[in-house]
Amino acid sequence: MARTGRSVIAHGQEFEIREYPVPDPAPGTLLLRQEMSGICGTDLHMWQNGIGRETILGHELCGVIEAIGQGVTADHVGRPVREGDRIIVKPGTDGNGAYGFQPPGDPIDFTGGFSDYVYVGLPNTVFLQTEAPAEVAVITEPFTVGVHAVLRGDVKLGDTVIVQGSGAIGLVTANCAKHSGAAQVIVVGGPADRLALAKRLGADVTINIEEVPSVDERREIVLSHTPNGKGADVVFECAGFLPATPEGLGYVRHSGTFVEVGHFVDMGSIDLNINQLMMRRNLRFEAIWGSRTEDFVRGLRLLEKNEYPYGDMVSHVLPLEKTLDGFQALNGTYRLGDETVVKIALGGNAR
Amino acid sequence: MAQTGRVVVCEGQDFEIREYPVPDPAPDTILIKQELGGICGTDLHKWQQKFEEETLLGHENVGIVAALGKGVKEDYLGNPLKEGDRVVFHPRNSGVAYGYRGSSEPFSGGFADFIYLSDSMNCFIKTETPPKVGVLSEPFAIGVHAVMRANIQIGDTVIVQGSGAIGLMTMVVAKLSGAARLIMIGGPAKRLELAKRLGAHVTVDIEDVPILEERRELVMSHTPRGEGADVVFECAGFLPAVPEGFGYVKQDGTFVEVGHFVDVGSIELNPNVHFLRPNLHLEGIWGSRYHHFVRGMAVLENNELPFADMVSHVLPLERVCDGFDALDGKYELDGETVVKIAVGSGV
Repeated sequence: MARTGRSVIAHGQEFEIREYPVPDPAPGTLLLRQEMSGICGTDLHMWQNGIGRETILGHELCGVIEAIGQGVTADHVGRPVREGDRIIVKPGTDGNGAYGFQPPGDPIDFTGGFSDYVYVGLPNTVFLQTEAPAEVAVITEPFTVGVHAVLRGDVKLGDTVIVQGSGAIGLVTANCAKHSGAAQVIVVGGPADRLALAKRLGADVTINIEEVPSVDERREIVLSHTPNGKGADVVFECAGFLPATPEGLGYVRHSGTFVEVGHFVDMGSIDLNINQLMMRRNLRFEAIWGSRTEDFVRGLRLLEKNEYPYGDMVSHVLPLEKTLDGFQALNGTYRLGDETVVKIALGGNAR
Repeated sequence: MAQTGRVVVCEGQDFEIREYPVPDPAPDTILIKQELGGICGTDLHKWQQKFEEETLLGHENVGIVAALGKGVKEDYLGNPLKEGDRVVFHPRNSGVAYGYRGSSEPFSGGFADFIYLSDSMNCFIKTETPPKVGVLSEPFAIGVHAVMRANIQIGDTVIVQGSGAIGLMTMVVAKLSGAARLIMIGGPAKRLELAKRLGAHVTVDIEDVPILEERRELVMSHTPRGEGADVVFECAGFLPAVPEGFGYVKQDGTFVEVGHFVDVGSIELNPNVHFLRPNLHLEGIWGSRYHHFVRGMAVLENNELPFADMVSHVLPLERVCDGFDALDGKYELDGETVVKIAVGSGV
């Protein structure tokens, strides 16, 4: 192919668009025409800390098969694939790098979703064909983190669940808890528009931290929504804000479970009282690092049923040229245009 | 009964022996002639922080049934029970645990000639084990709880931080549950020798390797591919041991906190580095339940390991204070390294 395609190269806090020749897929690989790629909290935190080397970001991605390498006939679960099919990709590859975190050309171009094309060419890549619309398919990767979190948190029928944080991870975790049988899902977060969306995704109660900024007052309100005021069966920390961890540990009932899903990027340390927060509560604590292949297999089938308005989580679709606008909106105001930001996706074809 | 019995009462950091009349047991309760009562790390930590009110310590006990209240015919397992039988009991009941009550209930703790289980809901088990094994039943149940929550699987590599009684018992239970490689980090040397007799493959003496980085390198070198242990048990109750222990867990592994039964403050932890990146599973172990106690007694009764060797000292009631002083620093008493100190009414 003599064509070229664009990739957004991130370095420090700058974004630059470059053109690269579009490869013909080698045997066993795929070339996707990118449709949408979400900006993740991890991308944001890395950018806030300054990205140390040139990187093609974008690990939440979906696209349509543009060209198919020799020998590729089916996806990870055996569904046949052909040109024109929509595909989602699990970013991690078990030792062969991860989509959305590689420098250009290492080992191939187009390894990140903030590009016109995605070259599914890293060895041992797991990809899945899907019938879900692009704005739902692009949610798959963050959704699988929610799947991983509720599986490890072992959410059971009738559980009271508290989710701290109403960003994308908080919203999908609340939704996955609902799917798993939780009877009372309490989301603590903000701003108001995100909490309204949390309700549509299955939250029973929402508490706006902007309206209740005092931790003690918030604690009283949050616990009043739990059985006998004694705390939740499972608490998910999805805020990625250090003081949320001790606050959330205080929301767990005795012998309950705390799930840490927030600190995907190193934001430093915080004092924790081991006796009060872990021992005395006979606590089970699970920390969730990304997601596993089984979470993709489970999660995508739930998304495809589209029983909740998943597509509404994508609040903005921006062209590649506006990548910086997306990061800046996530870096403080949570506003872009006239809308509250939830998930911002970059679209290769968006205008 | 017209008899009187001695009780050790603790206030501040002082111990005093008093005589009280021994009660006749009410219906559904039992009176036990104390044989041994262990001094627990929790007793020690509470004593270090000083008691504001008179308290009767001692929640690890073995004794002989002195009198049965009306209606008590069998133990928790359904075995017939009579006066003269040896029993162990779990301190939990429907009220405040035995060994933590005030002097208004004179025989509620184990550092006394008699123990009166005055609540109607009790878990006591008749046993044939020698007193030096029976006295371990309560801390052993904590080891059982910790290992069950850790979900130890056959062939696991296990690291135990802390070679006190809880560390040793947790290690033993991990071994009996299928752990293949047991690494004990602790001290002093005599405790580590005992750890070897109880099944440790490798012991690391923190006195020999006081520098954290060196210790870390040494400990990790004993784990498969140097990648860490499947399960790490923190049994030291020393705050810096917690972040050190996180560093010993392999990716996707398990950390079990069994050390901080008393609030000794907070320590700085990094949620990203310590929790998320290793995809950590953590369990905080608070005491034990009756079912842990029942399982633990079944194991102790098999007596497949030299359990009794964990009782390093047996002191008379008058010397309770010597026991606390020894545990509060030097780990030496009467020329011997201290592991578990028991107090015996008949000594």
